[in-house]
Amino acid sequence: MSRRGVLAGLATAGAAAIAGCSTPPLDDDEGQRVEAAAVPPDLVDAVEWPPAPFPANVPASLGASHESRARDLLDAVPADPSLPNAAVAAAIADDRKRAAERGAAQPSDPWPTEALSARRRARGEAAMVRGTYRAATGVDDGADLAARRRAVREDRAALAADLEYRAPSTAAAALAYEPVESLLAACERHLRPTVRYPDDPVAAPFRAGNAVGDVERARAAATDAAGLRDAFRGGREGLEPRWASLTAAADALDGSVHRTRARVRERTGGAATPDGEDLSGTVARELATVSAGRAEAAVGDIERASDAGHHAEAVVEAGTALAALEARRWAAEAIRDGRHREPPSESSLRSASERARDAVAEAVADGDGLASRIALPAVTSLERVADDIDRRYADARRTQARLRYVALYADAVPAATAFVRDRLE
Amino acid sequence: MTDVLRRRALLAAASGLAALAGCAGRETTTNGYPNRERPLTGHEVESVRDEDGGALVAEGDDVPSLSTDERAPQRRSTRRVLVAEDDLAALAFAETPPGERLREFCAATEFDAESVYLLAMPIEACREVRFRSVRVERGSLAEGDLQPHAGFCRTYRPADVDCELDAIHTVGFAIRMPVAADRSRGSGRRMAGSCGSGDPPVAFNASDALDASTASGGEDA
Repeated sequence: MSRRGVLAGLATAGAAAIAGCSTPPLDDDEGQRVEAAAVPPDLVDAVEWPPAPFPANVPASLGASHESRARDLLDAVPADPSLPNAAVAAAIADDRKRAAERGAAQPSDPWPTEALSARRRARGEAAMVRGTYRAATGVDDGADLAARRRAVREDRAALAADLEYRAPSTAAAALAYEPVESLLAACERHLRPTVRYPDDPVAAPFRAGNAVGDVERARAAATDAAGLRDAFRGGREGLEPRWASLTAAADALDGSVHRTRARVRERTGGAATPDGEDLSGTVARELATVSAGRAEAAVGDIERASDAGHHAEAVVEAGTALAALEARRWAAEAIRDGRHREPPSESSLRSASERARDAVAEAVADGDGLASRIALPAVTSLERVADDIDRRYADARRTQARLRYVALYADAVPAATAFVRDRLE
Repeated sequence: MTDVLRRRALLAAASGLAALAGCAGRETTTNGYPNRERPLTGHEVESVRDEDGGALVAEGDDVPSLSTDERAPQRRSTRRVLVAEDDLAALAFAETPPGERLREFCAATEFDAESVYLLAMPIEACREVRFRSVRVERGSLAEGDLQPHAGFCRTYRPADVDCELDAIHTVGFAIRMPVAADRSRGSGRRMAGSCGSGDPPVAFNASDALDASTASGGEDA
């Protein structure tokens, strides 16, 4: 095996270790006589994000209030705390510095809802540092924290109970309330008392800080859920509740996804690769694996959203599941037709990259929010491919397969978007 | 590879594998991992801390003298399995209160029914080591060979404990186990970098009343 082959194997090993120890690293390369090209470091350009799907402006005041709250929390902690236990003091000083840096950084997230999420994280971290410091100095915040948790819980419940998905149309309701649902879910997650505030805070100040940080993030999520809902309503009176139509659409789409999956399985025989052919070490094998895996994951996402009663999320996830199933169908057909067997060359990698980028641009070209949202998995996949190349984890076959997959998925987005939109009318 | 070396390698592998959280399904050996054994119950633990950083126990006639600003991890570290009076007689304990406590605890062992797993190690002055559990490789024990594997975790001492960043203390643990053996050809130790709040999950087996309860709590030093 050449040095390049060894490096590619090592890169795969690294990626496999990160992905949770999925495959033995060198197996795929065993017995391969033909070497794949190395992945050029400039293969994938910076990914251009489509316009944000949230159908309203995210008020700057939401992020600003997290920012100022984070600053206030950190102001209450000395930069160089003096405590009898010097190691605890040093650890708090480190945490404070990191939290201050994070709080001062401008979020780089391209969508405002995502940037807001970065602000919430920074706020939670600041609260954690302050909670740790207070516990370390002998303050017991246990009772206050319990009261605060209860108050956030009540606010969240009131917000959830009031969620009628008021919107000018069912399609707008899906896009506007998906982030609201996801914030309510995040709030609920942070409220779960998985980290219990310690009975003796001075003995376990970091656990105390974690408990305080969780409740702070729950509060921030509840505030943003209400903030996004209000920003979307924008003072408009008389918006119709779209709960019933959204639920009906989510149910119908859930049915469509399962019916589509059954059809695709009939065509592909359920297996990721055609029977009787050893595809190991080919782009075809990687493409089969990635397309089958993404389709199953997308179907899982809509099932979870439906079970949780997140109708807006279920609708958009149905769109991504349909596009993923279509991409899987196309991938299986191409593999059955004998394509994707050659080892990647630099030119095949470059053409795959170009095709992927063009397909994503095409899918979101008309600035439609629903298409942007359904195209999101293609955009993030492309970003991950670029990240892996930067970190030198990229294996040529896998990279080419992932780029091919991005193109197939993006090609399916317009039709999947139209299908979903039809069910929302 | 001799049997002894192989067992040692297995023990080392077992402690290494424990670090790979989430990859448990990839372990290829089936039996014989102390990690796979249930934690032992009915054991007693004596834990001590020498805030002067002195060595607690050593092989031979005397223990090295050390101060808190010397790192010298090897000279503070001991790991011995005592299965008979002779094993105890081969050791020297520090003539300090923590050294004495360890020696007395070991000396009070009935070696025809019990054994002791004795460990000493350095620790930063502001941190502590907690004992979590001890497991015994039952396959080798059946052949008279005691191979204990102890789990510890490391955490900060309370914030109001006065301590300096660079100072080194010594901690010692003597774990008395209700098992007798002829020899010990291996032992293991696992140190988690933080002390989670809960005990590891316990598998349910209704037909197995023996060892149904796990060792709980922890000994700090």
